[in-house]
Amino acid sequence: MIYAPVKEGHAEDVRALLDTLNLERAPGMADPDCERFPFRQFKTIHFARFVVIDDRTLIDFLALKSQRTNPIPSYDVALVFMGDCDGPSEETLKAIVGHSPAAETLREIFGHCKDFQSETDLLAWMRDHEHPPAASYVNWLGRTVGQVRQEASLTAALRGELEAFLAEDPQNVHQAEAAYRRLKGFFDRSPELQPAPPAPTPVGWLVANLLHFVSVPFVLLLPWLLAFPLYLDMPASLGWLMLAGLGAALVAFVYLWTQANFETAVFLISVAAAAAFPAMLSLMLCSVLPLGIALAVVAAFVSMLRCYEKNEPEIIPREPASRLDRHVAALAEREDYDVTNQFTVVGSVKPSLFRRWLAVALLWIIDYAARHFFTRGHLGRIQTIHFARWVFINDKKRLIFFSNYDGSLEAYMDDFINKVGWGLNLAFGCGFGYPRVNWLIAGGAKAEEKFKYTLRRHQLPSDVWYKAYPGLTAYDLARNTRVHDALRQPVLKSKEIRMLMRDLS
Amino acid sequence: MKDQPLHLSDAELRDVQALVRFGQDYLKEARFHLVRIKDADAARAWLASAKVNTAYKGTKPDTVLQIAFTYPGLAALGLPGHILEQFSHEFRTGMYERHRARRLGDVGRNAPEAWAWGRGPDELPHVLVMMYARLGELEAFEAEVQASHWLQAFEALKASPLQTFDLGNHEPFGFVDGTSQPVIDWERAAAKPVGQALDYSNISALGEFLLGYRNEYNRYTPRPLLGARQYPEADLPLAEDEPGKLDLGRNGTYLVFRDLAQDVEGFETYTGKRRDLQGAMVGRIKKELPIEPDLPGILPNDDPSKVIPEGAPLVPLQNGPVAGVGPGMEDIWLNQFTYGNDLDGTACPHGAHVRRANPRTPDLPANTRGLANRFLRTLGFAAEDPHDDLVSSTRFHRILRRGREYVDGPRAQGLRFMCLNANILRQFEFVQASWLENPKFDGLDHGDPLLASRAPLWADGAKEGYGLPPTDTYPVPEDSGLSCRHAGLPQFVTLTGGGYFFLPGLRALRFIAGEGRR
Repeated sequence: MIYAPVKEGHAEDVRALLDTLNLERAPGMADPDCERFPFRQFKTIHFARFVVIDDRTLIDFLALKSQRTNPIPSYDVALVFMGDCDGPSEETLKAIVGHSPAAETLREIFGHCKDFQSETDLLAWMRDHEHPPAASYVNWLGRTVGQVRQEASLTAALRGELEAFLAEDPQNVHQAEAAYRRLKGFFDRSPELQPAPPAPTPVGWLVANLLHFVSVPFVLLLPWLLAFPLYLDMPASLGWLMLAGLGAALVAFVYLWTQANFETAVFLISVAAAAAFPAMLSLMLCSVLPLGIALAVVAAFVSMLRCYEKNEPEIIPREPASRLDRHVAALAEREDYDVTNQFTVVGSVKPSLFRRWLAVALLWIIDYAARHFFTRGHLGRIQTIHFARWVFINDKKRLIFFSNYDGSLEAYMDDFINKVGWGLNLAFGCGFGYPRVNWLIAGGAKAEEKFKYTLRRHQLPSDVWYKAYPGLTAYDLARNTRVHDALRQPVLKSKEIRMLMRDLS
Repeated sequence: MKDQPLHLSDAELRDVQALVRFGQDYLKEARFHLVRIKDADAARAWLASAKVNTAYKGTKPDTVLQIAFTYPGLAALGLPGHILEQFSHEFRTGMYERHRARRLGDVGRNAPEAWAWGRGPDELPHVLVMMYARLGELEAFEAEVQASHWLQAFEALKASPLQTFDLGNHEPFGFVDGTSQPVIDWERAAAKPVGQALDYSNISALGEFLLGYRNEYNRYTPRPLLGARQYPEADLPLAEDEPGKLDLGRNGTYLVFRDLAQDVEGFETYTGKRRDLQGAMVGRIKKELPIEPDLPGILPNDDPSKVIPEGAPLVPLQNGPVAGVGPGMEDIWLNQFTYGNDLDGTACPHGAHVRRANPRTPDLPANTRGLANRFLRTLGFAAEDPHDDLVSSTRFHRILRRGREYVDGPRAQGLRFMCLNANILRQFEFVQASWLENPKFDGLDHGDPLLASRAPLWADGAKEGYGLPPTDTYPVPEDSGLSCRHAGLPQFVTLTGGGYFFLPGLRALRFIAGEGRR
């Protein structure tokens, strides 16, 4: 994400300029073939957007009586350019800079930013203004734009072939095996339809990702390793206890591995092991000290958290209807053209150091989970998010959240509340103006109307939004990948054939 | 509707308009008057004297009068801005609003520009006056209702009055109407926590259909509240959640009105009058069937009729009870089921009208069982089927339907669809936009076979280099996994008018009529 303050008084100009990249018939929807910035030609971009960041809710700080000095924080209106792309963002930026009309347009856009001069080196400037996300979620790690398009073409072609097969004889609708043979033959005979094998993942990335993953279980299990000398002379009863614990952990591990995935299993077992360690240490040392210290640390954190949660005021001011209606109309104008929508919210972190660091820690955990556990089509129970990012700005005093989701906003928010309300509270509970959260995960989003109202108020209209594969939902992408995978198999079981037919029907 | 134990006091029930509790099916004649206010004083005088029927159950009245207002109507009656602005955003901005229309699928032939009424704030009625009477008695009742002040107060829209015609419990396509309605929890039993319900229940919190009470989220839906000191003369109930305030919304609700023209000839022609195909589109059996001995599923064996009644679901009945269904045998036949055992849609297509309008899903994915499984399901793992969990928590999206059919000749018939809900956005609009119109509902590629607009997907697939399926198809899944695809589905239903109304409680109605307002 590239973030840069806009020159005083230039916000409207830059908005008008950005609007020239859009389709005439749909406000906020990028023209993929716009000559001045042909999004579609940049083959690594899944989604991209330009948003002018102007937080209309900062005035809410007036309600905070304890804020004695300078009650309303003020920030420059800023411009954000962000994209979700394959490979390192550097590569995509280079490609854009290498395309002279696009680079020219970017220079014109960024010319409205405070520190951009006509002689500025565009690439270096963008690099300087890049803000790494605190957390990011990718619906399907490693699936490229090219793969998405090719798999969509493949599915469409197979559907056509299947339709021809069904048209030949009304009885064919009961002949799944024959249909499969027909499709398999069609697939094998049509190399032009077969998606190109994906470029190999760089080894460096794989190693870094593995280390990133291993770091947490390693730290969690480290105490158990360090305590190794103690195991040698502990009483046999404790040995049996440990063995029993180990056995239970193993069973749980296999269950989690088969039902969820390897990474999730490793992580959850490590957490359980780390939690059990103080008690075990106390038993081995015949001293309540370790357990006592652990409990004291937890109690201290919990009491501090509860103290904040209970005493922070819940500030959700009601806006005059006419103002809110205008805001909602400006947002609605840019929604529900494609099956996917964009979502951008900006907000402030609650004004205390505790909250700021808690937000950092929680988002780190969310990032970790999204990167290692939720890499195959769902974030928690939500299957409709393509990409999501949380980015801190202004010295971690503010946070921007971006997502690309399927369906209408109401459906998205309902999904949030009903399916992952707990996760939402974790992610946004430190936000100023968010409904009151208890124990990190309870309450919050469950205050349905307050939650939706708060989100809507903090939402920003996306000035330009691009999606590389309109008409396709995250579910469609997953289904197309299933279809592709099934046809690459040399043989399928009848159950798998049935599944394939369902996916193509 | 079933008789339900009532724990609302009689006084409260006398404050609720009858439509919330009764469909008045025994009153076979009904007409809906769409009027604009010519003279606000006369209109207030008429409203103050109107004898509106209530939800209190006494002897069945021979006539019923119900009154609802649009937002411009409330403004025309002089409700001040600080009250008006507390009504919901949807009600204030109207069904005709451009972006809302796009979301609801009111585009193309359904677009507001072509409506007979309600195209914009100036073509919207101010007041909707609903009159019901026994056969042959409506005209006399209308004359009585319109005797004083009416002509001076109101001016009828061109489209008014909207006629209705009793098709004997059927809608024009020939299906039994109103087979499934939510059961209102008049007793106000405690709500289930959000996200925790393992089983689908047909019981809805009172606050889903009446403002001023707790809804399924166990919260109060925002509604106009007035400072008690500012209106010392007002006879309005106190708000339960803010006792210092008067509750103008309490015992009232929002009424969604959509005039739906049904192309019966087109429907019969396209389906070739095949009842099975029509049933597969609707999701219910069109004509009663004899029970076959090898029929899967559970049959209520003490039912002496030995036939599956028309209107029964396409999926087998469920073994155990569904909360809020029964004990009557008819209700069990029609409603004791969910789609939890039909994840592949071979019994009832995923896209069937009734499955889309009420997917009968609990909060957690179908068939969640045991603590460990529940934990994993909460994290989104352990899915049984790719369709798993695409649609959940139906209970937040229920509506109470109160429509009436009309027939103005063989080519002009349809449904004057009306539904009640406390939150238009979360209930009616969600069902219409996310479930019926949205082609991607439940992993599909097509809209509702009856109600969707058939608007193509936004993208031009050819230009993108990949094909996109047309949205006017209807696949009926077979056991093989393949589907019979019915292509080129014409639009069978066209929206010809509509609006959002507020159906106030009786005390609120008197307040709107000027009583206790300074």
